[in-house]
Amino acid sequence: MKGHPEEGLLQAYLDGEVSESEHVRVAGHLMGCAACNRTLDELGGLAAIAGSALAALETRRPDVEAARWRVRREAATRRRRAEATGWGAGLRRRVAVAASFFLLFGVGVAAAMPGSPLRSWWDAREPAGSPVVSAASAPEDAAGPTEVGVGLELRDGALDVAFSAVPAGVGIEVTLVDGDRAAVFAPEGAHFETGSGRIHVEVGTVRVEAGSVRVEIPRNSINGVVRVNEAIYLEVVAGDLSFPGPPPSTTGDVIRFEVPAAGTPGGTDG
Amino acid sequence: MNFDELFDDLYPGLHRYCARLSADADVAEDVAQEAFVRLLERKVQGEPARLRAWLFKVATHLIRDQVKIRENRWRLLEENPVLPHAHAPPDEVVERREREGMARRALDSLDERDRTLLLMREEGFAYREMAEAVGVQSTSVGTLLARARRRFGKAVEEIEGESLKERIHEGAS
Ligand SMILES: [Zn+2]
Repeated sequence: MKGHPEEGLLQAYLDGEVSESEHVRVAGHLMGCAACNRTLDELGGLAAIAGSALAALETRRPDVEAARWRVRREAATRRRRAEATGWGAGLRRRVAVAASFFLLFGVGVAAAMPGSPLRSWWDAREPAGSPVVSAASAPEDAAGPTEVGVGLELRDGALDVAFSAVPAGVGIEVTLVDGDRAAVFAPEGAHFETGSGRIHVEVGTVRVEAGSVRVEIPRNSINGVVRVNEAIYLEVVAGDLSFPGPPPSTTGDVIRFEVPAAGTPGGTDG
Repeated sequence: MNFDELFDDLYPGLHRYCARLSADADVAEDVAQEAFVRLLERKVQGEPARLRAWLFKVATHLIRDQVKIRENRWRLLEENPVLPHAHAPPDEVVERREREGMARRALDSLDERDRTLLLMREEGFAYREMAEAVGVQSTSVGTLLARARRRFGKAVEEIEGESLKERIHEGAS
């Protein structure tokens, strides 16, 4: 070996990631080179520091069983969705899927599913049979302390969400979620009005932080609209999504709109 | 090995990796599960070790996207910090949280590739698999890993030094 081996090669040597011939060469060099031995020691020390520091990063112990169920269910939903073609087939299948969801994931089970900020306060809702709608402050650790959420059960898969007095520039985030419940989150102080399958939120003059106007709609919704300042931003017809309002940006299951300025369709009121 | 066995075997490790990489418990759960959903969806086949590498690679890419989505939320939470409980936690809990906070800050000071390399090596992956996850040649992983560890070590040292100084300062006042 001409000169000292590069640091990367010493690191690979340390990690057992070199070929046999490289191993022989590096080992041979190390026999007579104090400088490289020092580097090797240093690399070993750095690995130990990294190991013990990273071990301090505690992580919540996952519920493996619930996670496995969720994965299987999600994979099955997507398979069915991919299989469904055309309007009629899509609708029928969606109804079937929604029905089986209801049977499998009755009240409580769906709420216990991880991944939704709703899960910790669904349980606190009125039992089935009482008013469809409930409002509660979202728990601080889930959604920030200044947010209020309203949950809504779909009526025959239908849903109507309307926002009014939303200032220009505010982002509205729609997330497709599992289960059969919709939810709307808005800054504290917004005025909520609810009815069967319907939520109306007057955002008004409350301070709107980015990302704090959010809608969660079940991915199995059959029919529905999300309206902003009287313009339809999102429409679900027979389970298919369309966006007649301002063009959204989409990342996975998250669809984002920005309220345009006054004078443009869907823009600020007045 | 059937899917359920594979899942039960690999999920906890993948979840831990995602939690460390994303620093967000919700993202970790979503991403670790999404990786498995895609495994089923795409009917990926192979030895458990290969499937494991595939899952980690997919999760690494998903976190890259997810982190951008959550940035706003983090900012919100930072501006409205959750108030501590009224009763003080025991000293050992405080100390553990401090250690964790320091490790987190040190990790956050690295760029995404360094973080990924560090954490994947910690989960026992080979250079070849790490190279694939971050999109570099296998032959450069040794160099990149050594550099990442050096940066991380330096950050840990600095952060520990700061916290020590703070404590001395507090003690003096
Ligand atoms: Zn040398």
